[in-house]
Amino acid sequence: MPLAHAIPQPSPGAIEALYATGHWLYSQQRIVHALTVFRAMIHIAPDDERGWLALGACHEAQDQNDIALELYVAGATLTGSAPRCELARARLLRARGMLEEARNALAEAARIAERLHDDDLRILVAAERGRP
Amino acid sequence: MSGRVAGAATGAAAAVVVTSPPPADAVQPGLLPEAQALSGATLNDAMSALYAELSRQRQLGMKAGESRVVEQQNLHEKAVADQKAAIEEQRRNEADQGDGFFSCVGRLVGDVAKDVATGRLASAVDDGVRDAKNAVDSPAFWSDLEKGATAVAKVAAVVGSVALTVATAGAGSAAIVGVALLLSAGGAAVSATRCLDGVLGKGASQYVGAGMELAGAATGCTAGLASAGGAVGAAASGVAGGAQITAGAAHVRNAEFAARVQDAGASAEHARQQGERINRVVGWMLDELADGDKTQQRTMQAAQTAMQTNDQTTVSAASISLRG
Repeated sequence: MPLAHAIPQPSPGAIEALYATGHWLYSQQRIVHALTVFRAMIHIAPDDERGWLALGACHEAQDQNDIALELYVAGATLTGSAPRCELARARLLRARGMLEEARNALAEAARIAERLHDDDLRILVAAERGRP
Repeated sequence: MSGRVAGAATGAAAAVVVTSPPPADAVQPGLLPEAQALSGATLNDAMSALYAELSRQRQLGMKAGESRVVEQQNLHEKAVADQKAAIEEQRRNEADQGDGFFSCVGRLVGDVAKDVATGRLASAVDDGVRDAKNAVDSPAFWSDLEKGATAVAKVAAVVGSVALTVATAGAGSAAIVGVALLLSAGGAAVSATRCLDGVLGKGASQYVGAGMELAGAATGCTAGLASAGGAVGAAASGVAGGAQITAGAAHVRNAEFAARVQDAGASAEHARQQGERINRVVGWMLDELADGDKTQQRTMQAAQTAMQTNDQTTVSAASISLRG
């Protein structure tokens, strides 16, 4: 079943507002509410990496790292290009001692950053590689 | 919605875009992109989208929850049925259930004799088979048989030893006659019901039964000739042997019934625990549904608050923009 079936597509501005709302709730540590907003967001805009990333971050905040990992993978799969999800996944994998898988995820993030010529992303990848 | 107020208040400045930078991320430093600028016009749209999605999720959640509750209720009904069946099985296998040995033998003989007397030979066979099957399935039959055969073996052993040492008919012959009757009846029953086949092997019932009947006949004869103490002792020894075999076989069969009772008891307990567990799960699911509903309502309120905060920022920024 398609994630966004039977839902009237909101304007891009509405999706931004939704993300801003979830982001604000998340930053206020109101994780349960943020979860619901981001969960709605991945249904409304499944091709927006931020929804998956933020939903994963909420689950990480609740120590549900397994779910977060699944969400990052799902985000990367559905959006086709989710460098931040790859970075978040690399962090979790490294924390678990799965170094080879973490390196692969990081390499994928670096590859996307190069393809997009995204300097912010390059900085994030470099910072991640520089972490002890 | 205050977003609309902001738009009206600012007129052309409705397009004025402000940002509401959230505090730094706590869990994913740097990874979560900052929220982009918001305009008042998009807030209604976002709120509507959120409301629609949450309503859809709630409906899906309720449907899924209802299905799960129905499924659990079906499981619960099955567990109750299992429990009842296990209790019934336990009751059926208890030693005092069903017809006893003499009742079974009496019914078998009565039915067959009646059919033979009235010339219905085919019915005699059918009745015999039916009565025999009922006897084999009756725990009380086996319980009685074991007790009876054990008693016969003991009496026969005593009589045999007495007869060997005291060559008088006296009280011994009365006991021997009793033993002979019991043994003959038991032998006939064993032959007719083939009840030992399952325990000792196919055809064993006929041999044991015939042996018991012969021993009973011999005992009966020797009771009348009680002057021959050695013959009485030998016959009584035969009685004791046959009865011991029967008692042993019946003991095995009774042990099977006891094991079935134990198994059925365990099944009933398992089914009862399963029922309780399902009840707990249903309770949790209902709580979860109610909690999910409340959480979504609270989220809508929280989202409204968050968007109102953005609106206020928009109004402030618009005012600053206008004053500037």
